[in-house]
Amino acid sequence: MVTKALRSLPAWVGLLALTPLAALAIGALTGDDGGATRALAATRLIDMTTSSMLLVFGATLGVSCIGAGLAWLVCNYRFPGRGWFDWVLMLPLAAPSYVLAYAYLDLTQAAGPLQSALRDATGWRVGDYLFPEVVGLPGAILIFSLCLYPYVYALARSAFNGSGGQTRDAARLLGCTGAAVFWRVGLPMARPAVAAGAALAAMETLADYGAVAHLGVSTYTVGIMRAWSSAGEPIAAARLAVVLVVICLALLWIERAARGRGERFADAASSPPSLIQLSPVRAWVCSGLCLLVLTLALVVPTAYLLSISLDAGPSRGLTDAVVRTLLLAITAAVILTLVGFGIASATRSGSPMARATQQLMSAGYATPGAAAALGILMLVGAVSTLLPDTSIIVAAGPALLIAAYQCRFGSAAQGSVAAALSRHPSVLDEAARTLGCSETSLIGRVHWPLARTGLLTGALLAFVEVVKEQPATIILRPFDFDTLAVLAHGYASEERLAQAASPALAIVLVCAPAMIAVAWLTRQRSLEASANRPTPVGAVPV
Amino acid sequence: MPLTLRQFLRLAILAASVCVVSVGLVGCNDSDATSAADDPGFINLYSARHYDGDDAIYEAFEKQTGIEIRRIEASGDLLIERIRAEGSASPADVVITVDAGRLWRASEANLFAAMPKDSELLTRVPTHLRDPSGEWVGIAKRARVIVVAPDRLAADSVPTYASLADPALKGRLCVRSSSNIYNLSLLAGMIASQGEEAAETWARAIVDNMARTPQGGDTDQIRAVAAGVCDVALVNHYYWVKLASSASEADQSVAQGTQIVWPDQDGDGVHINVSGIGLASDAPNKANAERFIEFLLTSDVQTQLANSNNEFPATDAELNNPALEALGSPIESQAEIWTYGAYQAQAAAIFDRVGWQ
Repeated sequence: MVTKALRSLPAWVGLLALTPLAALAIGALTGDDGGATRALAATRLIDMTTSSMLLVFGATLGVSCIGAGLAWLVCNYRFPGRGWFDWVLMLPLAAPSYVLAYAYLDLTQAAGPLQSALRDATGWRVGDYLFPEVVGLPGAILIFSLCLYPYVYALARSAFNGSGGQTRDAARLLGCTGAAVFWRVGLPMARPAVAAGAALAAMETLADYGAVAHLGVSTYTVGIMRAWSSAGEPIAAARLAVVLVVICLALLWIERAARGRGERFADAASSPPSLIQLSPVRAWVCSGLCLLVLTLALVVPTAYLLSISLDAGPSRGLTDAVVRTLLLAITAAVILTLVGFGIASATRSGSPMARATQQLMSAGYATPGAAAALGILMLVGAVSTLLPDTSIIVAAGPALLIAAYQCRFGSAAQGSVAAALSRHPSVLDEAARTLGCSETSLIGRVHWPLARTGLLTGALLAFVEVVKEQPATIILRPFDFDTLAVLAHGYASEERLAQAASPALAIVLVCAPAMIAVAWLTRQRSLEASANRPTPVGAVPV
Repeated sequence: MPLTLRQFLRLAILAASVCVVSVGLVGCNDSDATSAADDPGFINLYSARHYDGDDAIYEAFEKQTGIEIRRIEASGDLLIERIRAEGSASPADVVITVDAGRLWRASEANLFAAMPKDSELLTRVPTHLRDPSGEWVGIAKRARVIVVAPDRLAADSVPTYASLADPALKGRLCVRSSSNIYNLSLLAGMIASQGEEAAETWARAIVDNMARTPQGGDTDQIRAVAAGVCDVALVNHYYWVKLASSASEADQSVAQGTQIVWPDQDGDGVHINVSGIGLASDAPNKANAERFIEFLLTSDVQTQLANSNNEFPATDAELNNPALEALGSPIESQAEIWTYGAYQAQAAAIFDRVGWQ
């Protein structure tokens, strides 16, 4: 009885962490918004929804093309630097989209250094020439494609490496050209992986506020923030946010349903992929493409931020902020991963409650950060009326922040663990049970070792997300507790980009080692998988 | 050597407790909200200002009084929502936000307590810059101004906010998003003084005159004027002063290529907004909080506070900011700034109707 209760503990923790979303929904349904939602719906809501849809469509297309394309090159061809690109291409996930948006708009706008230099050199004036400014909808699509393609890249790479090598070789022997192999064999087999990665990217794009607001794209999330800060109606913001979460969940459900059908493509037997030798010119083109993406996604923005931060010097309290960020993110990553493991393990053992929690947790990921923060404040407000003498936020301290991260990013950690587990057939569990393994020792002696790489990947992903998170951290932190993301936001909101640059760069530097570790781990895993055992293509992490 | 679950759990619990304890130590070294009798104690400051220059002022207060300042900095909306959620147990003592409308909102939500009206220092702030019931007071003034490229548009051709609606400026105006609180308060001020219809007509004409879809912040609008994307922009004055007094040559040349116009000098005067401070309604350290508010209103500190962001003091304290003084002293609107708050929701609705993004 006790062990059973203990086993369902992680699921309860996961569910409890989702209560802010429930508070948001209750607030949305019962609160009074002073007619703000109706007014917005009568005016700009349709435009906002349209631009959100266009943005998500464009960004999803972008991340899929870049991510799947690069993964295909790296998994199939020999070209200079391939082994290096294999993992370095994961790195752009270390840079938050708002940092890229700030850097690119500053760099490419008419008043920026590039266009100014062009005008100085040629004597042209604004309007005499065309220049690709990173702004508006196309700019935002570019930014999200560059920031978020690693989701697709990582999953597609596992899929290409893990299975279908023989089928691809067979297709080539039967006379398929490289492109035909990609379109007719490789892509259909990796489709579930690409879709899963694209779904993650789509949710992040929909929930983003910082980058789109700066680039002047009025998306649905901008509408949410407007209802709150301009009209002073948090309830209207809650209503709009709940609709967004429901749409995201519907998208996820469609994606899962589509993935289910994709499993028929899985290989029974797989082999290590055989790399194809390219002509020198083509090989260098491949290297060039990888290098181009890497340059645009990481080198250009970080180099530009570095150059302007050198003028301004480091911002105040940078070292303290690094220490706090690391402590907070490491603690959160460990806790989120353990909770995730508990839920994934219980789901595998057939607990319906754990399965339900697993599904519900995606809602946290799809909620815009500020809306999640609002939900937490609404919940705190409800609890405060019960405990009028205690300041909940002060009493909970950093624990409240961890709970907020569990709400927002619990599914990212859980997904990696669940994916690692699902790579192994359930007959292993049945064998263990037959051999007298108790349900408790099944967790420690079977599930834990099987999930090992997934645990690390999950922890690292959670770490990166926590380091980048802004709204919840800003409003729920204890006194005098500035993290890197808080510093970057403070300076950026005062239009002091040069001073915001050093904390922004520090975010990238803190996240980069984690991304390298993720890349390395996923590579190990796929090599292991392809060498040892069949891998169901459907078993990709979400 | 691969870890077993048991070993890992031990390690993880150890690591997590070390982290939690250290986070706790770094974060809240003492979580009791009030202070002991002999110790001068502390105040809990909720601030929406993040200017580095403010730090020096806080340090001076700590040095002078021995009272420690503990801070949460976030946007005004988040701060208001946090205090509301914390209820009567909120540790907030004083709240600083950067827009009169937000101060009004906090006051409407009953988050502020009335300050002692007899304080001589409070009365140094003109009545139109503080709450009539004494719940909050302005501490620094900023003006919403017109910036032109004088080689393309004569400064005297845009002497008023109304002149920005001139169809001759079609495609020549840059302004940031209407989600920005300064635009909201500007339009709210117009609704208060000229009525909703006139404000809507003006906003519609501004949208027609825009050179581009609103993007970036106020500094980006000034840079765009200098670069030739547009000939005129509507911004807060301190962004221009910051460029003019910047160490960077590029920033200085932007300021040199542009010029500030103080609008409505023959009429109501330039639109003024404030950073303001309020005493939290359930302040656990009320006496210290009142000392802090009074400290911010002393003449020297007013000058310093204004200088930290190139603003104007809210009292009659001297300016002592050569770059700002060089711009002359504008005639300021005497509008009662708390009216902005009451009209902000209406202003947002107008922006939505006219399609000002």
